[in-house]
Amino acid sequence: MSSVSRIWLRRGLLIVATWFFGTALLMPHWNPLIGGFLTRPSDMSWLAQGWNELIVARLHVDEYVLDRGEWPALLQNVEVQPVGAVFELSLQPYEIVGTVRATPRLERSLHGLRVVYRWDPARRQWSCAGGDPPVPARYLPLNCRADQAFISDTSRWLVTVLVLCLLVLLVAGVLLVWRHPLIAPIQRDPARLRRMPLAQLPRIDTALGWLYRREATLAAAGVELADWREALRYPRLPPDTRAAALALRVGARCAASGAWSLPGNVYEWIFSNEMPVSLERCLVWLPGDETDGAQLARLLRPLQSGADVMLVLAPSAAAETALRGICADRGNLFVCIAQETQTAWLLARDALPVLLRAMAQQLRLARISPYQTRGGIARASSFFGRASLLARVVQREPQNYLLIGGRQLGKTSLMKAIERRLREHPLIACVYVVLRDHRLLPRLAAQSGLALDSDLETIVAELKRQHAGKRLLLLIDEADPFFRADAARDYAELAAMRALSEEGSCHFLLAGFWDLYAAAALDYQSPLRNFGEVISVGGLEPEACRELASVPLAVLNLRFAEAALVERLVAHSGRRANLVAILCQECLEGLDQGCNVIEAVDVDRALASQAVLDALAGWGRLSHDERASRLDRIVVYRVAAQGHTTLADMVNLLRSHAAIDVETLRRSFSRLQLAYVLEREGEQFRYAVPLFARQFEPAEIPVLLAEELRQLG
Amino acid sequence: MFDFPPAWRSVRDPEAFVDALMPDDFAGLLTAFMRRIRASASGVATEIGMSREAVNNWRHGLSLPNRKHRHKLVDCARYLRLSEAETDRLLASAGFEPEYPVGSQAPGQPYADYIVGLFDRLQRLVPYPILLLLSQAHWGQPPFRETLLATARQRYGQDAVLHIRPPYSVGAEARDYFSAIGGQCGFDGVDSDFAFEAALERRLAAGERVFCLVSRFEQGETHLREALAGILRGLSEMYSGKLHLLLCGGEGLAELKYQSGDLSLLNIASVEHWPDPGPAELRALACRELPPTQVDTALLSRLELECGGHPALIDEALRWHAAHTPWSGPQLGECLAGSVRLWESFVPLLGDAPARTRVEGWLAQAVLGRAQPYLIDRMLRRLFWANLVTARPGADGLQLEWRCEAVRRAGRQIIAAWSDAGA
Repeated sequence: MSSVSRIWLRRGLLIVATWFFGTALLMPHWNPLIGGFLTRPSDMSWLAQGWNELIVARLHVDEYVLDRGEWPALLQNVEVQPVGAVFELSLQPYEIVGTVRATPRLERSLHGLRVVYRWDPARRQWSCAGGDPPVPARYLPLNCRADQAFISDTSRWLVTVLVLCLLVLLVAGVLLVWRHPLIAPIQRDPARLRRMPLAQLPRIDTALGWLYRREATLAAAGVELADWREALRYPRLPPDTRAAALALRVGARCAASGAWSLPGNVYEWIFSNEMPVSLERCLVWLPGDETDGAQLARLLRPLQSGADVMLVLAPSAAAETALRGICADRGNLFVCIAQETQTAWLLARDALPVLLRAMAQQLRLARISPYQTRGGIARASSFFGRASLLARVVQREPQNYLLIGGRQLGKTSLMKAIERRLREHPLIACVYVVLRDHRLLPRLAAQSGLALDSDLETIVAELKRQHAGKRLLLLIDEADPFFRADAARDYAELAAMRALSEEGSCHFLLAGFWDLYAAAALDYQSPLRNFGEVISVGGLEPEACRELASVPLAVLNLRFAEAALVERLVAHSGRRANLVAILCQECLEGLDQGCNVIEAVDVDRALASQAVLDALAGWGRLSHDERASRLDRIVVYRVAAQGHTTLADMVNLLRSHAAIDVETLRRSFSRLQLAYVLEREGEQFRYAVPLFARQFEPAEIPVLLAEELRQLG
Repeated sequence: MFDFPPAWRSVRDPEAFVDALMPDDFAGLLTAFMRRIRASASGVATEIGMSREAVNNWRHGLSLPNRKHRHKLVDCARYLRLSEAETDRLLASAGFEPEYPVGSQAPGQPYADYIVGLFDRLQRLVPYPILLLLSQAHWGQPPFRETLLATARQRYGQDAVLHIRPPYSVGAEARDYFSAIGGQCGFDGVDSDFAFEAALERRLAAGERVFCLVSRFEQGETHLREALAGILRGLSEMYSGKLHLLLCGGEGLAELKYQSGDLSLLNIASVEHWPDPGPAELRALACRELPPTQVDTALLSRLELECGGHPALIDEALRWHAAHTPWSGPQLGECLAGSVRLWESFVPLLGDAPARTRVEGWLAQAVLGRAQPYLIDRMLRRLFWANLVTARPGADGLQLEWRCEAVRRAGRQIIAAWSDAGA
């Protein structure tokens, strides 16, 4: 509807309403609603003459009945004229029916209406009532009215007006609720309560209180009463308390930050490890309540917050416009926390998504990426899948494990996940140790606070003491150098570890790659063979890959345009967790400002990125034996040249260049499989990660292969 | 020249040792440097392919290195584990051009924006803020070290910045090695790797955020380097986000990153390559050599075209310009193609015939192939780290190109010279 039509409609409604209520109060006979219920005096007086006609007729009939003891058949029998000035009379058995004649003296609506006088022969009494159609009760004599009400017409009119006024008030009240700019939106959509400006909460609270709708509205909006009360108190709190209250809701530690030449207060927040995005700290500025937006903008423009994100809490709705202008530029690190966002922050059950979405709208997404692309996953929210592997360790009695897999496949992440799962275990204590060289015992001793030359028994006893006598599970990461060195000493320390674990007081989970695997799986004489259960870490489960690709994005209100893109990304990554994370990170980097949907072109760009190639590099020296590494490279180049290879193919290739026994070749295949470079399909070996092939230029493959073969010989 | 701490303070501060006690003449400098790592004349001679008598003559001041033997002096500096400043000082005392001309400028404007961005990127690396800063030949490791440190002090605070310069001595014991590093960090009583780790951990455990710049990470004993990497990795994991590491190096560091599975510190580190100078950097560098009135757009364009971002060639071009204003015709290109430093980079790569054949083929091409974070082809890799080729944006992403026409011309001349010699 156009605005002009709306204006005229509104004017028309106003005229009709004025006429309606005006006539109701001043000229009720003109009112269409109550006019019909009022008695016109002219009609009343004319009808009064008619009652005389009826009474005369009734007297004659009465006399006739008393004389003859029967009901007269005709009016003429009792000498009564059937047609009077007002009524036409007729006789029915024991009834005199008066029909109002159609005369100009009476309102048209009264024409033809009837009144009936009934004779009760037993009681010898008359009764009176409206006929069919009946004369309105208000025109009937009092003894004819069914309700026998003694309310006068004036009273009836006043009551009607009163009822109407009450109705109008009721409608106005309903309109007040449903059309009130503050209350109405909340009543229609209670969740809007969490998006109302902070400064308006007290007025909303008062209005809801008047309407007795506070509890119901809060419940419908999913807001706790305690949170509501804190939000109402919040603007009156001192700045330190306000900053601390907000920090608490997002799991941050708050400390005052000095040396800022800004009006108001600046704080530094340190986020916990559970923060689902790559933001460990940020600055928070609470400007003074009186500061206006233009002044804030002037102060922000030249401000250097270093590499830290700065949250600016808008002091008022008026200041927001200028602040938003600056903060919308993703080139800087300022985030405007508007009044509505502050309300949501204080009222939401989980405030972190509120903060994250505000940051996602105003910062470069790469700055707050939810993906960890390097190193062991420390945040529980970033760890996906591996449920069966975790269950094998966490849900069983402690025993020894050998965690084997190539680099960047997730060994450290899995160990950290085990540590997190067992952190609160009543009987088992986990101790995570990263070895930096072959020296296991000095490392453990240093971590336990003992002398570096302490033996394993002493160290374990001390660690048990420190963990209240719980059974120990030592998670030893990067154990390959230790194994190489211990093998040279006939596994002396391994024997001590085995003895301790057989006693049941301490068990070990050792993580490593080839040295560990070779000793455990390929060397039949190695004491490591029966040391513990071998757990191989390879690709992530497909469903976990999909979750890894989509769940962290949802934290920032982002998504892939279609599910097929996720499938494509997972397939190209070969289900390598770090590659999935890197690809998603690259997609984020490429997203345009304001865009929250990842399209096919973004995925294409990510697949061709340097970051992916960087993650795939580093397979050229998988063994400390240079000849073994060279053999690995020859196999990889062969697969690059042909798309696949087999044991027989490699034997044929190598026969003319060097004397390589088949067992050495099989170890090379095992190593490459363990490193997740190759995967086996029947007799054929292919790249485990389809993207792996992108490292090679077609023209250089023969050169590289020939060069390695030449040097092998 | 590269900027170093102004005064020598202790034996644990080997770079400071240069300015305070070192003599200025070539013989005195060489003797002092040799004495510092207890290198013998025969050891130096064997390493650089000279006779023991020649080295002794240098030490005793009886002769200076021949003009053709500049590269041998550079090899000698590498063997003696000299820093960039020391190398340039030794070369200068023998009358040669510096090896690290651009990065040795005093702290100033060039790369200031890049360095700020570098710290931004480092701080965004969550939860492990570890960055490898790789630079090609003739750049320092890192270039503009003092600017880097000054920016770090501004960001992290004066006391939160540690600068580790692993000792050069190949024969260093663990005790001396970590004692020296501990001294550089201001830790008292450090006599072992565990003591160093404990001292650093104390600071981190106190809730402090620490930035650590490790210059020339790749040098020194392998096992000590691995121990240092292990300590930094362990503390980085344990105090996630507290220890910010910037490891600087070149080819050796890249090899450690991509070819050594044991150094997990490097596995989880992100890589950053020192960028070629853009117009702003070129202008700033030119203004150091020339009067500002001579530095115009035409000069900068020509500098970019002729030198291709090679720091040594930029240095030579600016010197040439200062001496032969204005540049004319192809003279500059010819001059740059004959650069001693360029030839020194090229010649060791063309030692065998198959290598010369491959390089000759590449010299005919404008594009050598697709650039990758780690070049699988060893010859391409060596050309890259010798700063003869570089990665530039192309139609299909980054691609490898020769630095500039002068480099290609030098390559052709060297191969032709080899052919003429019948090798």
